[in-house]
Amino acid sequence: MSRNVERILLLLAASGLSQRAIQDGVKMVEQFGGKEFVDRVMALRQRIQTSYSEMPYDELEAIEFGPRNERSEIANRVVELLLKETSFSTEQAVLELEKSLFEETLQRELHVRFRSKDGLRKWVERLMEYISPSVILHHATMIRNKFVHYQHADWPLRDRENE
Amino acid sequence: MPSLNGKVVTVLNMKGGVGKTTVSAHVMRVLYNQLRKKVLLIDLDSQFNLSQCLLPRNKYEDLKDQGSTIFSAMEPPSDVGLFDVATTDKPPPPTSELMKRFWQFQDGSAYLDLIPGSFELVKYSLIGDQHKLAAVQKRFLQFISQARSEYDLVVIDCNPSSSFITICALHACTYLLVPVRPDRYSVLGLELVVDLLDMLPTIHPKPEITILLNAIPRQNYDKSTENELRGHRRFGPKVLVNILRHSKLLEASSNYTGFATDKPVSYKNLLKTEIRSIVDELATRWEL
Repeated sequence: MSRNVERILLLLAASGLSQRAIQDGVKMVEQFGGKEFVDRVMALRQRIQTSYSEMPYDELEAIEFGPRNERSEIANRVVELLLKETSFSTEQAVLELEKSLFEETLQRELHVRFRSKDGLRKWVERLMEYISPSVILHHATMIRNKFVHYQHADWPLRDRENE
Repeated sequence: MPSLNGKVVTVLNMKGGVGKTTVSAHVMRVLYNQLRKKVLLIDLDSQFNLSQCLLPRNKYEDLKDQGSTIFSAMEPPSDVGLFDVATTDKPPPPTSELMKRFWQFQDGSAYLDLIPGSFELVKYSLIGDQHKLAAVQKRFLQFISQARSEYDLVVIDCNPSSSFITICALHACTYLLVPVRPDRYSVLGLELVVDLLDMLPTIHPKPEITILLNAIPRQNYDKSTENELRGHRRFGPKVLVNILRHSKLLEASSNYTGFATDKPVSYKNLLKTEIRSIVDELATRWEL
C-alpha cells in the first residue's frame, strides 16, 4: 500500500466519520469516478482558502508547542542585557535597574526586594507582577546602552527635548 | 445614538516594505480568532496590496466593478473624473455593502471582514483644493464612525506616505501600530510618522503609538537596532516585547492567496504561536 494511501486512510480514521459515512464516500467514488472525486476535493480546498467559512482555531494547536513561559523568557533577556552584555555583577545589575525603575515609577518605592538566594532572574519575574514587561525591558536596554561601548549608528534615533 | 466602542488602529510607517500589510492581514487574522472579536480590515492604499494578498484577482475585480471598495466610502459614484470630487448630503454606504467576509464563528459572535482598496484613491494626491478634500475626509470619518458601532476593531492599512488619505486615517484612529524592521530606514520611517503627527495640530489627542519589530531573523540577528529602539526614552516603552520573526509563510507568494496561518502546511503552527503572543500583548495595550 502506498504511503499516500496510508495517509488518506489515517485521515479518515482520525476524522470521526461513521462507518456509514465512509461507505457513502466510497460509493460516490465508484459512481462518479476518481477524477470527479479529486476535482471536488480541490474545489473545496480553494473555497476554504478564499471564501468565508466557520473555523475557530483548534485548541490542540496550542498544546503542540506548549504554552510559552513569557515572563521567564523576558527575564532571561533582561539578565542577558544586564549580566552578559554589560558584565555587571548581580548586585550592580539590581542597583542600576532599581535606580532606573525608581525614576520611572515616580519615586514610589519598589515593593519587590531582591533576594540573593533567588537570583536576578526570579527577582525580575516578580517585578513583572507590578511593572509591565515592556517597561522593564526598556530600562534594562537603556542601562545596557549606557554602559556598553558600541559604535554609534550614523543615523541614531533623535533624542528630542520634551519627549 | 450608536455606541462607538470599536477601536481604530492605523498601521503605518513612512518606509515602504516594513510589513504594514503583513501585520494588517496575518496578525489581525489571529487576533480576530484568538480574542473572538469583530474585526474590519480596511485597505486604504491606492496600491491595494492588502486586497491582493487576500483576494484572487477575479474576485477583486468583481468587487471593484460593484463599487465595493473603500473609494465608495470617500465619494458617491459619479463621473467627475480624476481632478474633481463628487459630494452628496447622503450618508456613506453601510459597511455591509462594501465588505467581504472571510471568517466568522458559527454563533456569529465574531467575524473578520475586509473592505478592499482601489487605485482610484490616487486621485486625492492630484487634487489641491482643500475645500473639496475636506468633504471627502468628512465622509470617510462618518464611515469610520459607523464602522466603530459595528466592529470591535477597525484596522486601516495605509500607504507609506504623508498623503491626504494617510492623514484621513490618522484623524480616524485611536491607536497607531508601527511595524519596524531592524534597519535604519524603518527606524527613520517611525520618526517621520511622529514628525507628521506633530505637524498636524488638528489631530488631538494624538493616537497612542505601538511599535512591532518585524521580520526579525531567526539566526545571526544583529540586535543593535532593537537595542537602540528599546533603549530610547520615548519609543522604548512603546515597543512590544514580542517580535514577529521572519517566516516564509509571511512572504508574498505567487501561488497562494490568503492568510498565512490558513495555509495548509504543518509548519504554520510555530508562526501561529508567535503571533498569539503578539496578540496577547496588543489586547492588553489596546484594552480589547
